[in-house]
Amino acid sequence: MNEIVLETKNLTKYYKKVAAVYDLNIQVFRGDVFGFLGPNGAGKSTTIRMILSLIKPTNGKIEIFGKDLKKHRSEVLKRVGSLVEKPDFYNHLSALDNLKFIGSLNGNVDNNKIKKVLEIANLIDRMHDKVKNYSHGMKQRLGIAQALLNDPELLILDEPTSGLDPNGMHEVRELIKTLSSEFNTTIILSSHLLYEVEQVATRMAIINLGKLIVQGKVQEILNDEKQIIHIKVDNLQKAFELLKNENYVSDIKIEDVFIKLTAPNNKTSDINELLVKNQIKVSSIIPKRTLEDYYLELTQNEHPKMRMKKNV
Amino acid sequence: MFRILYLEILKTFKKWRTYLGFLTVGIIIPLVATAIKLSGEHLDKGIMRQFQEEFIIVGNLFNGWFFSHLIMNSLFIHIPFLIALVAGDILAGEATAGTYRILLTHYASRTKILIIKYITTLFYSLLLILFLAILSLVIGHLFFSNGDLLILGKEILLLPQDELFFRFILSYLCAVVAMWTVASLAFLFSSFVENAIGPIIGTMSVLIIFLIISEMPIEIFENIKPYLFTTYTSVWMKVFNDPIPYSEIYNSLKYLMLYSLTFFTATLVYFNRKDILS
Repeated sequence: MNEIVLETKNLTKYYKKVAAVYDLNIQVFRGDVFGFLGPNGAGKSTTIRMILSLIKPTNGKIEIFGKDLKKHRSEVLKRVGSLVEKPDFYNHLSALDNLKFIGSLNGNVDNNKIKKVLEIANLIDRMHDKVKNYSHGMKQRLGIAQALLNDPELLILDEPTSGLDPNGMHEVRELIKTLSSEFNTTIILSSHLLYEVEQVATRMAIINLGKLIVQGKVQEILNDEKQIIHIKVDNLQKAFELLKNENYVSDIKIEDVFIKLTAPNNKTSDINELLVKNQIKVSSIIPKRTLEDYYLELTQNEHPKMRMKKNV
Repeated sequence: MFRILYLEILKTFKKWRTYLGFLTVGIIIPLVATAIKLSGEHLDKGIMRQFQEEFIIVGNLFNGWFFSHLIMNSLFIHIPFLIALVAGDILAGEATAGTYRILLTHYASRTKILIIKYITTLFYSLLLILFLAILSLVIGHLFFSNGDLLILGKEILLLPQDELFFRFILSYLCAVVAMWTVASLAFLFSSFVENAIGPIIGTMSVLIIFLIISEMPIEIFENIKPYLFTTYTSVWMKVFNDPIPYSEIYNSLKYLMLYSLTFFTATLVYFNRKDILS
């Protein structure tokens, strides 16, 4: 069985009487690229801050590498790298001096290691420049560099591609894939970019209003039960009449050159067979359930007033 | 620990704000000395006029020691402000810059980081007082030469010049301890907020209110005076009494250190429980 690297148990944080995070139970396994999703104010940042000991939980427990974070904070965080929200540094210092200082917080990190992470972040030529002269993208890359300083087993990245140009975003995604595949680094990736999570994450959790909605393997979640299918055929009307009578088909309609319908995910071949048997030429059958569809379906129906409140 | 401390001190001293205090002292002292010198004998005679009718003054009483002693009056309000400028920023500045998120998510514990920042604050205060001492004594002697020190207080004292070097060293050391208490208060306030302005204003407000209370000859204030740290911050003045009241000085220093320790402990307790939201 896969080793659990991080586990939250009934993790709860109240601000005054309102729960920012409520009874959250998530598990991250070794080697996971764990997508952590949720709309603004869902409690993602509060959870990440609790995992990094910036915020004290009101209730519940966090275990990292099987150890209670509260009791073994230093020992645990020595093996964790992180970039929380926007990358802020000491602007009056150079990138090199910033990394020297940050390295000292983790014990001593030698200069070769610092230069190596600066090379990964493509900042080696600018390492003597003061950070105040850096662009947002450069700061973001420096943020990733500092997170890698201690060769972390667990890397927590909060919106790591924010502010980067498409090339920069691609580089970060490739870096995440490399760290995961070559170094077996476990990565928690909090992001608003669903496309990004869909591309790199192996497992994910979605939270809203402080509560966990779903967690599991990305492919399993997206292939769960029913899916939306787009079908392109030579005779739209005939295909529509034929399919609407099938009892496993729902929400069927013609849109532009497609028939759109909802059906169980194991029925795609049955649909194809039915159409072909009735002399309808099928150009394409595309299961269209994306993470975005799924995410919106889960998060749109919840209202902020449904957030948990403390009983007085 | 020592590497983080070294890098924290470097980090602090690479900030222009840190040099503001040194710059102010570095400008004010030569400026005042030059202004007095240019005033010629007018100022000298003005200050001494009241004694000339009753005393026969021999030698130069407006000398380097007198000048340095005059400058030491900045230890009541001006120097504490310059200290609060850095001490009030040392934690709040991290919140303003958003760097708490980097500082507090690593192996080093909050307690360790707080100790390092506190030592840096004390180190800065020590350097500023040293700078004030050296500059005022050197400039004073360059401009006004040597002589005995006239102390104008409740009684008039004339301290012989061969004792003065020792007395000034002791006095400035007492001033360092007094300023550490002010720095500790600013450090405490700095942990509460996310902007350095609050701790600076807060520290100065407390200092001014306490100093006013200390100076008012009202009975109710007399009763609370022993509990105000400002009652002891003027300990450096006691060194110029004759004879030196070592026991009183020792007690004042003891209370000042106790206040500093209390302020630091309060910071430690608060900061270790603080949620970092910046």
